[in-house]
Amino acid sequence: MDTIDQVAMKQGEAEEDGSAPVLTVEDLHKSFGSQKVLNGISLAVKRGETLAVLGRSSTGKSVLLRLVVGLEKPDSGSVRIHGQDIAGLALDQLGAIRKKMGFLFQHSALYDSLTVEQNVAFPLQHHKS
Amino acid sequence: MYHPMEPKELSSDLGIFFWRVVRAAVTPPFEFRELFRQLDEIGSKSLPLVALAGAATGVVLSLEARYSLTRFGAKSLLPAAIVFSVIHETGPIITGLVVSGRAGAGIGAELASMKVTEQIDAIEASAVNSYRLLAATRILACILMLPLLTLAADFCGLVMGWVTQALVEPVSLHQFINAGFNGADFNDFLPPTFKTAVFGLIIGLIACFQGMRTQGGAAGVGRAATSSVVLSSLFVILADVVLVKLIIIFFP
Repeated sequence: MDTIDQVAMKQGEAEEDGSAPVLTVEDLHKSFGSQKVLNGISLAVKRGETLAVLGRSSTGKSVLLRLVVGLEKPDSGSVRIHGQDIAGLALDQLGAIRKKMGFLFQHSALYDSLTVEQNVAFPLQHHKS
Repeated sequence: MYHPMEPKELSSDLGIFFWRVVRAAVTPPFEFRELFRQLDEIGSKSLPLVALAGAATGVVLSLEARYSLTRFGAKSLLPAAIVFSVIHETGPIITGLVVSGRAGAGIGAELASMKVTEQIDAIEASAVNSYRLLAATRILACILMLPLLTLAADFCGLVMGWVTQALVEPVSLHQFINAGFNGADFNDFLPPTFKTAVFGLIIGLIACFQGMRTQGGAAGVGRAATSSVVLSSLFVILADVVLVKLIIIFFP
């Protein structure tokens, strides 16, 4: 199986003042059993940049995204958001970071026991304080 | 592909899961709305089934005990035999097994279905603690509801035990209660009833654990539901062995 073999970057309104990247992935490795999915992925995304990850089916695109949001833990390497390594964070600490992120699932992952309105309101209701 | 875990690996994963649930349960924000919803789902919706099972048990006990006691010339002890059997053992264990079948399967299947459709991941990605929202609420609801359901099973068992005896040999409910509870005290009633809180912990914990670690699509959902029922029923029975011994030691 190939790893991610192509990354395209679109330059948006990237700041050119040398600010640190918002998201930094360094030498990320991830395997499931004997199957190596990510083999030393590194990337950095600055504020205002848009990064598209392209690759054939089953090359690790979804795994990379899951690692970035902390739904999986890497075998080695690091994922830093605003300089903070998220791998060792407790669930509630990770939640503080996730509140600032938006994530769309490939198959929508709607809460099928709730109405559309309740789905939309779900994070809002749980984070009102 | 599904790979069954070794017992040692399973028990360590269960321990880690239990620790995460406990930590989530004792830290705010608390999910009271979901807790009340689960109290209704597990408690009030299991009530008819538990009551029916308790009633059937009372009938069977009355018939069997009458036959046995008559053989040994101890028919007068029938009310006490029914009362003590129901309150000490059959009420709690029947309640535990019925709830492990109904609620255990329901929890296991629901959470497994959420797992395979990435709904639990979506909850996590929304910065909501899934252990607090999904597992802690269900486990706590099981712990709180089992003793109450046991009371219902005991009541139905005793009433039907009386009805069964009265059909064969007329006896008033007042006489039945007096004879049955003669010599009984709270030590005969409270420990066996509250041991079902431990049953609730077992049922909730195993069902949530099996559901939230499901893999393998629809087949995985089926496995989670089945294993929730089988494992929780087995461990309820094994726990009963230990708890009965502890009750005898601490509440002689």
